Amino acid sequence: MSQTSEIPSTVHPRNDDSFSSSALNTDPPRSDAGRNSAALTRSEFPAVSVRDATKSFVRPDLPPIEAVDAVSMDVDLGEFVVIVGPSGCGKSTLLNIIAGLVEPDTGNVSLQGKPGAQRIGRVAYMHQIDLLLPWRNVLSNATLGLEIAGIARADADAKATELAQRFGIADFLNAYPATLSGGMRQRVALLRAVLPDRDVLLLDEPFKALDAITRAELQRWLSDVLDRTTRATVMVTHDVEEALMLGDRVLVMSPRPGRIVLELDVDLPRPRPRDIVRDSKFVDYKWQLLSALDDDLTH
Amino acid sequence: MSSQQQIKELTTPVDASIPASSEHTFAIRARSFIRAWGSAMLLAALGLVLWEILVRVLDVQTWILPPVSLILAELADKPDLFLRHASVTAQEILIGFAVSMTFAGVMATAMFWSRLLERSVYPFLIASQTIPVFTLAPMLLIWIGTGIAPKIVVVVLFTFFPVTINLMTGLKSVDSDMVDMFRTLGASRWQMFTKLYIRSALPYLFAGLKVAAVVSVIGAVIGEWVSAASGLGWLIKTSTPKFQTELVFAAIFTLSVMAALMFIAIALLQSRILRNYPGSNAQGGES
Repeated sequence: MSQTSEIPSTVHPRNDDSFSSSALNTDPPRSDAGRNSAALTRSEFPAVSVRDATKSFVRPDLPPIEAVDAVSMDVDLGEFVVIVGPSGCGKSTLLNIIAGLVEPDTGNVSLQGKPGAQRIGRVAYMHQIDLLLPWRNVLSNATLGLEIAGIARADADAKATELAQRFGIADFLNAYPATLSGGMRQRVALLRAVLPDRDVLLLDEPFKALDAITRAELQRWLSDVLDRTTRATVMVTHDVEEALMLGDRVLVMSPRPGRIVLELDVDLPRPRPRDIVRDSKFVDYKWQLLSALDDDLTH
Repeated sequence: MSSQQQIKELTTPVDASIPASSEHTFAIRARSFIRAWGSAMLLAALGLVLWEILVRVLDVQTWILPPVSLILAELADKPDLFLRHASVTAQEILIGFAVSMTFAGVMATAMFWSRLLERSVYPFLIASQTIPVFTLAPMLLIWIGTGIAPKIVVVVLFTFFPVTINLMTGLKSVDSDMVDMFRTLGASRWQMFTKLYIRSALPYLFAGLKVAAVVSVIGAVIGEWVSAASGLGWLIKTSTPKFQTELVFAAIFTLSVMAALMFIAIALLQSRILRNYPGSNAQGGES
């Protein structure tokens, strides 16, 4: 008897309203009660809080890989945090932990102060590759998350069509992924990730597969698109300049096992033009990040 | 403010006239058809002509090997006969095919949801293919009689395997990154099944259906061989001892045409349904 009464306090319903709203959405499909309670908790707790997360992967006949070692980080709503680190340092594992795809061995993740036991599906996640469904056109790829959430087709389409303007893909809504360039496909993938209005957005090296020119263009585009929102964004990259172009705060991760070795507040105005790379502050930041990365490589 | 305005201005209904995929005109289709099948058709024509010439030059008896012209004459002479028997066989094939597809769909779906079921049933699916169906067919006669049912069962025994195995392989070959993507969107297992797994498995399903289409004809003939009063298999069986060789060849020709038509129908359906799949490898990404 006493056991059954305890369960509801630890189990969080999948569609808890407090995780479903953001400033992008002025007319949320869900009830207002959830929004209000979210607004109350918003100022007190960070959108994402990772505490002492450790994760290693067991391999047969080989020593286990320690991917992430005692990582703690907080991200507030409206903040853009970039994690920089060498390849294979466990950055993606950290994102997977935040997303709920992977549970840490020790430590925990909370969303707005609540334990994120069932956070999978409440955190928007954009992967390195676009993962668009080839049998769906751009519009129905973009609305996949809304469709899964049970939102009516007409509403989902309207919402996607509106946002597609800002994303620069409005002319391609009927096109199929195979006919699009890599940069366009990434835009669609981001639109799909942000449409369900999660408070947290994870970006796992979103421009990795793109050429340098498209990459620079999409970096500018991304800061344009996301500056108008108040979600918490965490991006992973191995590109120091990309981190400084986009981030409010940059965390440097060491090679495996991944630890956070430097936390840098980026005090640069927004929007950041391309020539900000010549700004002495930018150069200074860049040097700090590079030497933090170098330190780890030499030790 | 200006950006808000801009968004309002730009938010117009999507233009439906945007060309989604390249338009295939009839001429382009015809040309690609000739490119795909032209050489095979030419080879077939060459073989038939050679057959005709050799039979005539070497003066082969028609009851041993009739010339092509005689076989075609036989077909043209008795269209009713062939049509009647072909429709019986076609019925067995189509019903058997439908049963196989249903069976494959149910099996593969059940195995997707239950690993235990998969582990216990899969070995028997493989084992079932070691049974020589030809020896089983007379037993079917004893078990379920002489009607259409035993023929359908033989067709099913021939066709369920390629369809089921391919469908299962397709369901298992879904990209794990795609699964993760669906999970982060909050998809339930059922949503993943309907929106991801089935769609990803379709190219595999069609590959299985093509194999099944061809072997289904063999199944129907074997079914008719054991006991039947009509059908192309029965026609072949009863005409051979009577040395009506041209009739036998005409019936075989009809069977081949039926198998080819089945195959083509499935291929057309496939190219229609899978027209946006880039090959069988259905992933995006630049590499």
